[in-house]
Amino acid sequence: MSKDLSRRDFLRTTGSLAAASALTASAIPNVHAAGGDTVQVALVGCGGRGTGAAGDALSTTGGDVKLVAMADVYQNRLNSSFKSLSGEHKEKVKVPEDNKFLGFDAYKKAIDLLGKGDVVILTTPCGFRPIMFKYAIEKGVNVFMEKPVTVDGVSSRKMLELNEEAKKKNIKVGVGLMVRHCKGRQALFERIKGGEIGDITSMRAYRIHPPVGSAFSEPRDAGKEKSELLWQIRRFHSFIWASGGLFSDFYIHQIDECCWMKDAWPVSAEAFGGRHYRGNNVDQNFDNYTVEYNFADGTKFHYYGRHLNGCPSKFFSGVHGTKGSAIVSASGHTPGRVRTFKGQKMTDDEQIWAFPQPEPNPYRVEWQDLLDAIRDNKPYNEVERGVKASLVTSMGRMSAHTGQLITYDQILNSKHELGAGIDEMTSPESAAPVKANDKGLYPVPEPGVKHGDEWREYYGG
Amino acid sequence: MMVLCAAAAAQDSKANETISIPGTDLKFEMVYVPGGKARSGEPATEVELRPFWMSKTEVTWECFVKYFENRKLVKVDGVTRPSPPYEPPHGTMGTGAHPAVGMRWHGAMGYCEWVSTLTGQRFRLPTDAEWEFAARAGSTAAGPEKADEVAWIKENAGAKTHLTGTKKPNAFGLCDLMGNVWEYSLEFYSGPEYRPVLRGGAWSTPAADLKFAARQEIKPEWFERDPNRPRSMWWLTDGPFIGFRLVRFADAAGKKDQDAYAGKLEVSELKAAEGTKGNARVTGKLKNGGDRALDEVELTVFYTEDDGKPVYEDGKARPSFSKVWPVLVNSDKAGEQRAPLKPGETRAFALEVPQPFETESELTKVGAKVSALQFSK
Repeated sequence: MSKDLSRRDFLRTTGSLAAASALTASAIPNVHAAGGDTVQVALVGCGGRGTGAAGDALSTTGGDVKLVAMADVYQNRLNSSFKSLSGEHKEKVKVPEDNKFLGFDAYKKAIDLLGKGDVVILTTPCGFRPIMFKYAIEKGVNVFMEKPVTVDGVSSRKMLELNEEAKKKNIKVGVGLMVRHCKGRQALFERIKGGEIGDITSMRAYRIHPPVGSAFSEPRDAGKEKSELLWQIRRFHSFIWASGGLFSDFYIHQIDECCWMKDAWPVSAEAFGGRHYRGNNVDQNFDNYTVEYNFADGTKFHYYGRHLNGCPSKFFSGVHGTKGSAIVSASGHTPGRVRTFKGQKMTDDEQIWAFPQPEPNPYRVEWQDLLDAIRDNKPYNEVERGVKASLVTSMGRMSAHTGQLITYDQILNSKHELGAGIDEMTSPESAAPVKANDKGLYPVPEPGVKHGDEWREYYGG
Repeated sequence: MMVLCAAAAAQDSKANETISIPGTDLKFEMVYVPGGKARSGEPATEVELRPFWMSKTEVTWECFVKYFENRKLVKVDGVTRPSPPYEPPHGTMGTGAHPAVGMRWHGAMGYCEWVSTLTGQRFRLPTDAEWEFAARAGSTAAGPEKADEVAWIKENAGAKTHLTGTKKPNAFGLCDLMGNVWEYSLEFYSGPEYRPVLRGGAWSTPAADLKFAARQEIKPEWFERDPNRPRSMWWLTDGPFIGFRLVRFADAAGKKDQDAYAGKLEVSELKAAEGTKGNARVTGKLKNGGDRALDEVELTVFYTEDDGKPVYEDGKARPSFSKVWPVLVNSDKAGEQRAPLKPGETRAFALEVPQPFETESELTKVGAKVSALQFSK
């Protein structure tokens, strides 16, 4: 499989939907068959984002949607997610106690309750994506999966292979790169294609804010958190196997949106990073990253990430062309506040165009698009795009962590698997993928000291 | 009205005070606001206000950021802080001496606690009545006469915040009450639910809507883009036109006496029942067991562990507490809180406390503590 996946196939970012359409001519229709137009939803991974995604699903228009099953490995998180959703969507949350599932096989039980035309939401840490996607495909249910969708080359190849089966079955799959559904960015893409700012020659993006989420972790309190494995899952941003680290989880959107505007994926990455202050933290992340992504035509895309307290925050993505420039993200994912300019300074007096405010909420739009496709039985599969975005993101992280220039082909065909053993996790007592040393520290990247690939040598296993 | 106030101001005026925030090189200015008869709200309520001090400008970004971001530089125990935001909450607005924006009521209130703890003085958000009294500065008109001179509004702001204190001050010497950013007031809309009141209009408000008496509720579209549930209790995703300013009671001295007296207040019959949107509705009684009358008592009500240990925030730094003022003489809200609490007197209170989500076990018990008080003169 890997031989087929040379970077030539990945050159354009916008080809995947067209390819999906071509396949569906001979595909088996996957119309909602449960009678009526109710789409049933199961939520697997009841954290803040999963609960939010379920809320967005229940807020769509065009037909009835009901949440019928929930699954997690934490009882308490399952309860509070249920409470939150019931408070907001009382009529649409129909999850009896028997349909709340706890444990590592809970996802299967939740998916088993769905029929063709229903949707499972996969919002666990992304390390679990392949095994859960596989089961959803077997059962023929539609999928919404949160980004990132892969953490390394092995999981990327696995997801692409699984997706061939999904396409054959005409399963609709949405990937939570909601910026792709932003009306402003879509309009900007068209304007760039139309030549408004000429050919893109350089791009830059910044994600600078204090440590957030579960990225920095102090040692586990064994009295409170009895299971090492559950703790690593709860602190997923801290562990590369679970999330791809803060790099993959936080940076993917801006990397994806810039590649989208360029309409190409980078062919290599040369990245830098380190950790200024580790304090009592034991996690596997750096606190700053700089990446130079290289495109086949020589275009460079520079990405800057920094997570230190006390430094000013900055969130921005912009592209520069031969005839002008454009803001892709003014200060956050949404609203995007995209604008085009006739010069390179991006100042008001050089402005050509700005998308009118307010803009629709893309977290809502991505669900409306998915459910419309399900109801109208139109081809809908965002997996390839999601995998490629995840893979080039991991390419940047791998380069920073190893101190090596990493090519697209290298990471795609890399043999090391961060998530080895995930399919053998059966209980909180199962082995966690990484172990702390006798000082309680988890393996961290050591560019120049450790050699070889990023994976085993760096993160144990 | 205007004549009365002007006369009062002439007789009862004090020089502005500059407050430094310890551990930083930041300062802010407080302006003395004499008490008097205040009319506030629509329909108007008339109340007699005690004098108070109010910050000359809205709290600036450079001050607010020290509170929520740099936990190690200016560390204060026992003060809850917002979870760090994933995206800069100021969005495309200015930082530095621009007004702080985008916080929810808990963040504004938490800043007051933080700056109080650092300075040893008692700061809080203005009551609805204090805010309007300060904004009017004697005016009985619907809004400022020359909006463009005193306020950053839709017609002159260019859709962004501006440096605080760059428009003409009002008759009390206060800046930007009207325009620039909406400002939180202390009390919620009537009823115990979490429904903060915003006053004063912002850079997005047209001159025609710039009214002293105008109140604004938090709109769903200001937090609807939050991709997580529960949504943040600290940040609004789309609130770059919301900020706040500080008030300090006129006789701020004697914090030690006040803290000592807090031990003489007794909270009893504390009960938690189901409230709105998963919140707990908490009721109880407060007794003044000491020998001094009180103009103001702030109670912090929180969830507790089974052993009674307070839980001010859950595992994701979501606040699991709220505040209530059984005694608040500068309030214009109907009810008995406007009367001082006499020695021996008991008073009932009710509020809603937000539901915690990320906790080890389900929390069902609540506790309360006196977090601030003010003696009557």
